[in-house]
Amino acid sequence: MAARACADMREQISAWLDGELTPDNAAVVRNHIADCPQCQRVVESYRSIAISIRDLPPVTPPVTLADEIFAQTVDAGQPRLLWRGSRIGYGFAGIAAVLAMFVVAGYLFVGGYQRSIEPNVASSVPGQEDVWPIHRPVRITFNKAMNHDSVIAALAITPAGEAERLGTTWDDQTLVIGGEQLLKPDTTYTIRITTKAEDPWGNNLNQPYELRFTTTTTVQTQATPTPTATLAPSPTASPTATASATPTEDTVATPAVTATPDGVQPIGPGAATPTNPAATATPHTNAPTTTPAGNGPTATMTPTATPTTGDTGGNEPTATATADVPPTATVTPMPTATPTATATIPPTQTPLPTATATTPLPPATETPVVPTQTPSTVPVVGAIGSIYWNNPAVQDRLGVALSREVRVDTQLQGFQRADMLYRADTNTIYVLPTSGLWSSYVNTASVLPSAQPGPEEGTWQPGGVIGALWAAEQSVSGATGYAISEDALAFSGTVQTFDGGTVLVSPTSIYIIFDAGDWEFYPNTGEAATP
Amino acid sequence: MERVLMASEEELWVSRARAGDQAAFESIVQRYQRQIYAYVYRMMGNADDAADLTQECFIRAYRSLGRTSEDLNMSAWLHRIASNACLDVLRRRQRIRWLPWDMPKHEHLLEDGGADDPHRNAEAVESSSIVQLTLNRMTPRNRAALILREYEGLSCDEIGDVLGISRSASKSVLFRGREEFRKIYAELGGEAG
Repeated sequence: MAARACADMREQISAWLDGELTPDNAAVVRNHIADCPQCQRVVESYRSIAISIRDLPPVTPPVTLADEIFAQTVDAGQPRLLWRGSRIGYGFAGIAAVLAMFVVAGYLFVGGYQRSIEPNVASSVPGQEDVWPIHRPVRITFNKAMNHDSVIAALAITPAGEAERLGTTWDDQTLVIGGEQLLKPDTTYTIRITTKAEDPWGNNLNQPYELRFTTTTTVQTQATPTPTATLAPSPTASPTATASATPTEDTVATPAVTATPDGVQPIGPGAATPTNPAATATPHTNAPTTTPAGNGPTATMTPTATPTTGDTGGNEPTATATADVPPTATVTPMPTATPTATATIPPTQTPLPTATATTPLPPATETPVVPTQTPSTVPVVGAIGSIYWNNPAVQDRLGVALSREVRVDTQLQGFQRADMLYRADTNTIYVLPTSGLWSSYVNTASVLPSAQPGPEEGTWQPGGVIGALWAAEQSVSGATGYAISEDALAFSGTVQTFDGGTVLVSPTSIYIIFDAGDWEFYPNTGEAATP
Repeated sequence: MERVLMASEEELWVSRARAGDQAAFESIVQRYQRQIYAYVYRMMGNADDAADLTQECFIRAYRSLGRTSEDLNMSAWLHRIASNACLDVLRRRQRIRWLPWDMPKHEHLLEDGGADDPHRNAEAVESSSIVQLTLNRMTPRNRAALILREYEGLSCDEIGDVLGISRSASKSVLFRGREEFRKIYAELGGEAG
């Protein structure tokens, strides 16, 4: 009978783990589990399944996928019956067979014509003199199939070296440049293909081709107090390794400058991942350290690093930082990243290195490298981009992007006076009061409660990770009030870390959590980035 | 913190795409392609199918947007299209598979969408992960429910919406999925936990 009871209990356990049981039924399950080692193993097993699936490595779509979709939808004018590039039959075997016959017949009829027509460039994206995002590849489409080797041999790209760095691939009759590598920001590209390019029958391109376009600025830094990322030292990179004039996302590291007013160090999302478990075991608040700029101590500062290269002596570009804080405020800059790894923080300020942060100096004999004047190579796109590029004030405060957006398992729950967010990757819960500063807590709960009805209709005592913190910390529950939904919304969010904070995107909302301690909320309208 | 506002903003954005605004559709693609690709990848177990079916998903969406209701939940809708596309392909492969004379009783051997496909062998499955192999061998619907729950983080309600079943049915499918996963995972040599 006990075995039968356990067999019946499994479905209940499954539902319980999904938060799908009523409080009464959940209590029955909990009581049973407490006395049943077999069902305890089932719970562990189901939980380990969740973890193993959640921890599958992230996958990213091919860079050309969106363009391929556009080519068959918006760029095609109207939907097509069949689509290009599909590697699966999708059950159109009959149609495909008929089409195949047409193709064969067509080939026989058209082959001669194909052979005779002169090759030329039919179209390109970007178009002439367009402004083009750095993360989108350049696509040059010919009017017919080409001899790939001859086209590559006839191809020249300025700035010099870009042809080799960006790399080329082919998509049917389309030459794709830069599929895997970002273009340089703020750069005018000229792509030329000489008439030595040939089709498979040896017909030369009918006229030289030239495409000229300019790339976008990744981060607009003009007239903003935003720190420039390329001037921040890389804590780990060797000078030679980072001396490339070509910026890549690898050259961007941790937040360049942070301030710790009043000695309080918030574990802001801007800190990305807590590196010191001990330090993250206690809640951190942002206390009254952040008032709007200009009012008292502020956690934002405005570093302006000025590399002086090629000068005599130290090979050490100097960086000066000016903080927007009263003289009495304690400001501790945290040096990080520079591609050239040759910057030093002026002696008037005390660097607070991270665990790996050292400021490597090149050997005295080494020729200093002029840092590129481009601000950052990390694209800010999608929903985050929509806020970032369309809202100068937000862009100002966030500064440069320090990392690409990443997917993070997230839970979000609304409360009477706050939102609470749980980031699984850092195991951190953020409390975001509707009025006031955010605070963060590392989840330490081993037992997760189930949601219970609250005192009023439509309110709940939250369950799960968020509920554990809510129940354990009176200051939290006092600040948030009761949950306004029974369950937290679990989703795969998008997170991007900036110099001045972190942006987290849920399916419906964009949360901007400033390192300064305040936070903002925008509806996620799905607008894409338009730098 | 106007939650009503964010809902209406979402509706506005979707309605633009529904009205044929191509820029709005491009935004939808940019916003969801990564998520849909990842979901399809986990459903199919290899990158080629993931790219093709993600492409098909958005093409189907593009064709159907004009016929959707005003309160369209874009994420759930795209997941539904992607799920249907995956399930169609998995079912078709299942139908055309050559079965051995002494067909084993293990259901999952009949339902494999990746590793046992006649057009693919084990090497064709990109992921060597035993977890992915386990998913590949699950019945398509159980697999979809489990991935939607554990990988995509959807609730039972949302899973029901995506798979076109009731909330209570989605709970049952999830339960069967967990049991099936446990069994196959153990057969493949994994620690069942």
